[in-house]
Amino acid sequence: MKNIAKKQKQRKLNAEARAGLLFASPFIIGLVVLTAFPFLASLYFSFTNYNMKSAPTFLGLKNYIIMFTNDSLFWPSMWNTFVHVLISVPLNLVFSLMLALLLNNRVKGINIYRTVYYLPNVVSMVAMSLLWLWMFQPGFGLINQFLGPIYRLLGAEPIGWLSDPSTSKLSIALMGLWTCGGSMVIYLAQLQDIPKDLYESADIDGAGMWSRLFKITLPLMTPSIFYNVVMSIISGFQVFMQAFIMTNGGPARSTYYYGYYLYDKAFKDGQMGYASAMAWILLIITLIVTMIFFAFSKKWVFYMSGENG
Amino acid sequence: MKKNVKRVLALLLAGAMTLSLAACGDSGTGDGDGKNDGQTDQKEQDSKGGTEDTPSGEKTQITFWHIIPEGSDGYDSLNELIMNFNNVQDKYEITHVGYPFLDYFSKMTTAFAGDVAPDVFMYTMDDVPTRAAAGTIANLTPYMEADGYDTSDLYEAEVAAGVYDGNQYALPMSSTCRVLWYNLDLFKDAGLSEEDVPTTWEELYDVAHKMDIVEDGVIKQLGFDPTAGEANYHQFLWQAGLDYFDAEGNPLLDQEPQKEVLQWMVDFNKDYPASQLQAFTDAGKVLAADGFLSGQLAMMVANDQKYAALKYANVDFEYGCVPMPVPAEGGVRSNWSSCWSLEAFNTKDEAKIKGAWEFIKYMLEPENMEAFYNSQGWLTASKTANENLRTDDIMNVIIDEIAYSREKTYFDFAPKWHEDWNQFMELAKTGTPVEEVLAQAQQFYLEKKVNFESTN
Amino acid sequence: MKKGKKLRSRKRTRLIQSIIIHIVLLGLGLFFVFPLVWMFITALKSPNDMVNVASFFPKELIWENFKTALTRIPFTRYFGNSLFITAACIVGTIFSSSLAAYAFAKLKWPGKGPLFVVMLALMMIPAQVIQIPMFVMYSKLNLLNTYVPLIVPCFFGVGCSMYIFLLRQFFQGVPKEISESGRIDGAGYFRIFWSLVLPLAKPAMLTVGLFTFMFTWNDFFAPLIYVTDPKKLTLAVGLRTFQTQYTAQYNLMMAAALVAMIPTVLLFFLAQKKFIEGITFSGIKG
Repeated sequence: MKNIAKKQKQRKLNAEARAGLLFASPFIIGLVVLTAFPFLASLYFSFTNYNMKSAPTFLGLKNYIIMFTNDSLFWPSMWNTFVHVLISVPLNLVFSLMLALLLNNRVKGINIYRTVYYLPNVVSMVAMSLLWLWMFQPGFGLINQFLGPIYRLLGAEPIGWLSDPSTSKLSIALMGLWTCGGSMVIYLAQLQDIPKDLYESADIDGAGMWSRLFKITLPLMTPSIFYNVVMSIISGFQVFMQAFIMTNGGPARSTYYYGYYLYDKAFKDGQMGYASAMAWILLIITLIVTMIFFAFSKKWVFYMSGENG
Repeated sequence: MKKNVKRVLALLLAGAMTLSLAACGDSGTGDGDGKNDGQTDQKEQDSKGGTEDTPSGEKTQITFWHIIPEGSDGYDSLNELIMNFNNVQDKYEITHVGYPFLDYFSKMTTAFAGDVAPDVFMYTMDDVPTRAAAGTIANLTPYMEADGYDTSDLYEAEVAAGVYDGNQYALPMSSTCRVLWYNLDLFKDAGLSEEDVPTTWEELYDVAHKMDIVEDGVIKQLGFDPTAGEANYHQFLWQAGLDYFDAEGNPLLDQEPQKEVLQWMVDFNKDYPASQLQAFTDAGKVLAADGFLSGQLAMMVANDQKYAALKYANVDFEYGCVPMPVPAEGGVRSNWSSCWSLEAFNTKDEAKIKGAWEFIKYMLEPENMEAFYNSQGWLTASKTANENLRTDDIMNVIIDEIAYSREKTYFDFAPKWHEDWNQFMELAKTGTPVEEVLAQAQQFYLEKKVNFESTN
Repeated sequence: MKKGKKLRSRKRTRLIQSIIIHIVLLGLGLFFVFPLVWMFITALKSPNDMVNVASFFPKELIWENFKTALTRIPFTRYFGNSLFITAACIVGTIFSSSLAAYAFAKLKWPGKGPLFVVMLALMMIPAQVIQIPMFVMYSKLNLLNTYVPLIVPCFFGVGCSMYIFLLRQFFQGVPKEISESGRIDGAGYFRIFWSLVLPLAKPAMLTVGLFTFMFTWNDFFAPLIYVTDPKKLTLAVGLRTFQTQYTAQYNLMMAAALVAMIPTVLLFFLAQKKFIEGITFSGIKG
């Protein structure tokens, strides 16, 4: 009896394993055939001197050694990026969550609001950066014009935003809030999945708005919260484009992010080998941070299926 | 029902995709550089699989890449000029593609890396050694000697910039220069006249400050700012008879004369709040509207193209330009240029390099350079052609000034050392003492040099 | 008596709530829409207006800027190319990502764990260092100047890590009972996936489709480096024509950019309807 059940289970597992591999096969094929080469090539380049014109020359660990011992921009740029991640991830989380909850109401014209809130994501990076450069300008920019009365009231100096090393990173993070429409949409999608029956029975039990939020909505949103946080960590570590277009890494190198330095090494100095080494260090760091976050996720992420993590 | 619709749609799209791939696949012939598809004739062609391969190979196909994409100003006349090459000779057939300037260098970099660059292309004159040393571009000297090519009509400084290891690898196809533009209306408002336009740094300082208008701590108007427009540190160094690096590439930034020049730049408007000054330079970044165009900066250093911008913006003030002021003592009349070059890709096919050379010669003929000017407004690299461009006083000043412009010296450990400098200029502008800024810069470049040498 | 009072006060709180919501929506809406208003106003400016940074409003409205921007560059050709590539990418991405996500979410198979980590790791490398070797690869395969490097990878999950991850989160939320009931009915793994689980993840699939559209539509880099024939270039690349070496005709650029945004905006607006519908697991408790 037991043996037959075991064999049946094994057969079922084999069928499931086969199905799993089959389902994942396009992805696996893509990985092996199309992605493996560029990735492994970049790993190889990190051990070479490669100017992208002649063949790479092998250097062993030299790039990495230089990076950690004789590169005065390595640590500052890494620090800038870390700060950016620390600021932007929580900001994005709170803001886009709030926005999604707000937009989940069936108010008249909610469709239009949702579209408007998503619009910034559709604008090109160049146009967006130009716009924000103007908005943040301490003298004639719109934000300080708007806040003018408040400055006068408090007798304070206008904030320097992008022109002040102490507020530049924050400015770039704030600018990122404008494009939180992406994560907002994902939260909205998740909110659609929450069974209305749950709210109905909560209503019957007399639950108020806040306990609905904290006992039903948020816990059931944890899968997408988890997703958005992981994604904003990953993209946060690669921050660079905005600074490239708007600040040139200034003022005082406060927005010279690791990704920016990497780009400079690759395309300004023509040292793709070194840039590749920098890229792999970034990958390792991002991976470690993400995996730590994954490990913690088991504690607070619920899937409605009852599965965990 | 829905399921089947989805399946059918998916199949249709897959089918469409396969068909288009089949069509596109034809054009990836030869060494895959898509050279046969570079044709941009206005008339619609038989578009199945791109253009036809010349069957007998009578004419060698040459491709040319540049930064004037279809749809830009003057594209049509440029197209005519380039395609006319096919009419004046019968050994080579040229096709060309223009890419947006923002993306041109990405395109070229990947093309070099994949060994699929076009046969002849535009590039920048100030980093020719990068490509020459790596064997990416062809040595033109043998071809020049075989033809007895005379470069005396081209500006010497530019021709020299295209030399590497004693051989010519690139020839200039344009010229630029920087001059001092001035707003005559603002001069008059301050009770000055055209005669007061400065010729020395000392005069510049005096005259500029006569035109500063600051009310309630807000700068309404400035005379001049050494950090605005295209004035930069290395240019002022040259004018003071100094340089940034020595011949071996060692940075000279920790020396007293270099410090004095930077101090002069930083002190020029030191009485005004730094954040206000920032607004002036920021205005240049936002919407490409700089202080000069908007009539708030009385004098600004900019290149010859500012003339086109002034005309395009239809400004309502009188303006002119003069050579940049230099120090009264030991001043050297010079300005920095940033010209475009014509280079030939170092393919294995000799015939193509020969064809590229023929095309380069064609484009550098004075009449053709003038035609290029008419199309794009870039000053030509030919002295004789430029003579025909002396249409007014401003053009006269500009053309005279070309003779004094020079390219930056190239150093392999810091190919864009002038861009590297921007971060340090920023520090100086925002209050870090000059001594410290230059010490940091010095250390930065030395470190770069050491690291480069240890990995090459 | 009491019930009436409670109902009325409930209605009042609802009314107050809805007013507050409207105010907040509008206020934030201004924050989001204002920059687009700026783009629109810039698009209407003349070159003379552009140089006056201080003035926000143009002295005269140059509506011709839109016409100029659309006729200067071969807009319809670029538009058509963009549309084709984008549509194909959507099909490919949804195909490969949903399959892979389902495998990660619902099935057990050898190598699943490490592969998931690899999939995530693929996103953690800056694109700049991958672009060159990828280009060289396609160059050696003789696939330059075709749309193959732009479309085929989508069908194999390349560059789709974030969609796979997203869908995996949503699939994982689908109750086990659904697949169990399917299996009891004798359905195969694919049937369960296609008929039972996928329909329940409609909002997520829509999101993936939308994001793919947006990303591919706006992607200028891939078409730029892989395509050499100008007839095959896309809208995103064409828009960058307006920024030349010395002058940037921002007015024309904004005009063209605004028009280029229209398809994505329309698509998003239409997709919103699906978001409101939602789904209910009637009868099944979580």
